[in-house]
Amino acid sequence: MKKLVALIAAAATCAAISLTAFAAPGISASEQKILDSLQGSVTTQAGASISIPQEYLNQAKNYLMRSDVDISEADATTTIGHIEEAKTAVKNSNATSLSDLPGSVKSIVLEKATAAAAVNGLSLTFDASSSAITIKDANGVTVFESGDIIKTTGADYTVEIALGAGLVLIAVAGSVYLVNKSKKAAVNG
Amino acid sequence: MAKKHKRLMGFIVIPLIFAFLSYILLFTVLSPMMKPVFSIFQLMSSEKGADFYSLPESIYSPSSISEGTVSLSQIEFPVYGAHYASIQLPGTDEAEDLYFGDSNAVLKKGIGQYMGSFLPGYGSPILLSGHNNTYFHNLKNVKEGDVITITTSYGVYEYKVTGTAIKTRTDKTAYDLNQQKEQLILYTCYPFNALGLTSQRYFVYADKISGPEIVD
Amino acid sequence: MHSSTPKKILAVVCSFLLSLLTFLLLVAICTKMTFFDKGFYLSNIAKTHYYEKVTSDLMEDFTSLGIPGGIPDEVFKNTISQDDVQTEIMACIDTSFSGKTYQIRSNAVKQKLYSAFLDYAKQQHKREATDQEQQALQELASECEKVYIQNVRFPFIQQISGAKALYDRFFIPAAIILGVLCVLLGVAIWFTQRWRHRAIRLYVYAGVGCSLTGILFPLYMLIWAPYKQLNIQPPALHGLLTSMASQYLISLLVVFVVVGLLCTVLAPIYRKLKNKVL
Repeated sequence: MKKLVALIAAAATCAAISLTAFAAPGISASEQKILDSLQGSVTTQAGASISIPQEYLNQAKNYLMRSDVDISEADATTTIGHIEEAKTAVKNSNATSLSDLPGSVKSIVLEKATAAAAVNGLSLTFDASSSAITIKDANGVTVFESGDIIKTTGADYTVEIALGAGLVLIAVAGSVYLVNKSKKAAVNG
Repeated sequence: MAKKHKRLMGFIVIPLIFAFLSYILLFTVLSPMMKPVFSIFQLMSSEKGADFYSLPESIYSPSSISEGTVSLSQIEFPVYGAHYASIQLPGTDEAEDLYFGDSNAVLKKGIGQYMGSFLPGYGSPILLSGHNNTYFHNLKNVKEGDVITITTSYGVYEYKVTGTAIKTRTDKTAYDLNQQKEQLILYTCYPFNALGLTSQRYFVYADKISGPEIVD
Repeated sequence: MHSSTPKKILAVVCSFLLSLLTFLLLVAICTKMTFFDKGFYLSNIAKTHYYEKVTSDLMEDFTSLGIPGGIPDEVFKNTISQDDVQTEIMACIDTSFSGKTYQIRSNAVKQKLYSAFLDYAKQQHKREATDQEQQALQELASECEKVYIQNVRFPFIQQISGAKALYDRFFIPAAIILGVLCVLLGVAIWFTQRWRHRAIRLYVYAGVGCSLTGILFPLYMLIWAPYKQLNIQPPALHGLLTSMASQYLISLLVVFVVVGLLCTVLAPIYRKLKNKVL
């Protein structure tokens, strides 16, 4: 389960910014394949298009740039497989948005986010006065924030943001897990 | 005596067994309902409490490198709220502090960078905001062709202004965080020096003309 | 004549059930007297200086809005007082616990702020604000109103009042059922035991078992206090929730320690009855 979370998370974390095979600094070829598989949206049975907001993925990418992440070809293949499973689940639902996803799918996201967070010391923070959600690392530093891109006066809390935060949490947490895993492998190997 | 001791132990051991069995039973019955609650609790817990109000220490130490490349591994990536660079608008004598993140606390101290945008030199868009009556009060004077300078700890970057626009804050055509070029996007409230709030923002767009490229 | 083994097992099972049901009953009563009691909230709010902190956070948020709006801090200073905030929060809790929805009096705050903004604008420009300026100032006042509502609205109060309504509906029937079951189990234990001292012993098992069940978890939570690590902001709310959680756990601890101590009263009765038999 941990590996599943980590792999899907790593994939989501390294989401491509472009549709081309542009390899940005810090992102290897196998990670780029994972990014490509995450690009675009999934159309549900209700005809709605669902995807992770680009700005959320950008934030995860910025977090990852703090350390090197190396995902092997084998891990990338497995990751892409899991991503496709997740896409299929969303495709088969009648959801019209992230917040509309069935409880079973949301539960899976929550479960994976929790497992990933527990491994990597990441946590969710809720500000009741502004209804903002942020993800913080073990040192209390913000890794991800929800809310408007062009700043206004406060964020409106929606389930969609929360779910998006959960997905990015998996993403960020999983990638950090993979960083640790690859570093341990390098030390032991 | 042994029997008395045995009786006394019974008054401790059996209630302990009762307590243990009670917990097992309650856990079994309540587990399906409590699982999501525990997950959320775990997700929202950290040893070090969340801090919304204080900013981390500055990591800024001005570099003079204005060309070539810089390795990603040589860059100290700023954490949220860290002062990591300075930005100088044309026609101003002093550079303003540039922070990673754009919370209220940051915007009170300088210019904030949206953390869903990227560092100078990365080849991707950079989205900066500032108040029009404090650190971005000179933004209104910036014209097409002017050069904006961002100095970081790993390089000096120059951006040539390509245009300005007045758009509403919800207008998603005002910015493109998905683009594959390093575009500097600065915005502030509009109209300038107005009292009150409007939904309009003044955007300035600039393309990179010099500065070291960040490579792996 | 000795009791048969199945009878002994049945007696112990009854004792266990008595222990569990008593535990559930006491937890239900304790919860009703804390989390579903208005006084519990008000006392913790007062203890953690919640009103003062909320007022301070509110002014901080107003002045943060004032910066982009071109309104200095001084303009906001006399618009909201701690008493206003206290009155609002108390009314919110009061009304919600009565099962009604409370309407925060934000419009009055908005109008007060808007007037203050207009006065400031007139002072700055030496003339009345134009239509466009008035609109912008209205927008600022509206944003301040939203901030006021977010800060003053007692978090999760609707959910708490909904839970309270549900709890109240089922509490008395559940308490009666649990109470009756406990009495029945007690009677069953009493009349199935040939020797009275054995019945007393089984009551003590149940009482001490109930006491231990009710002490261990609160004690663990109070010592390790994992709830203090919950990332809820602002600090005022975090402090309040922590205080409420601590007080609830202490209440449970006290109740179950008392239950445990009461069982010690049964000890001399047990000895007396046993000696009679011997």
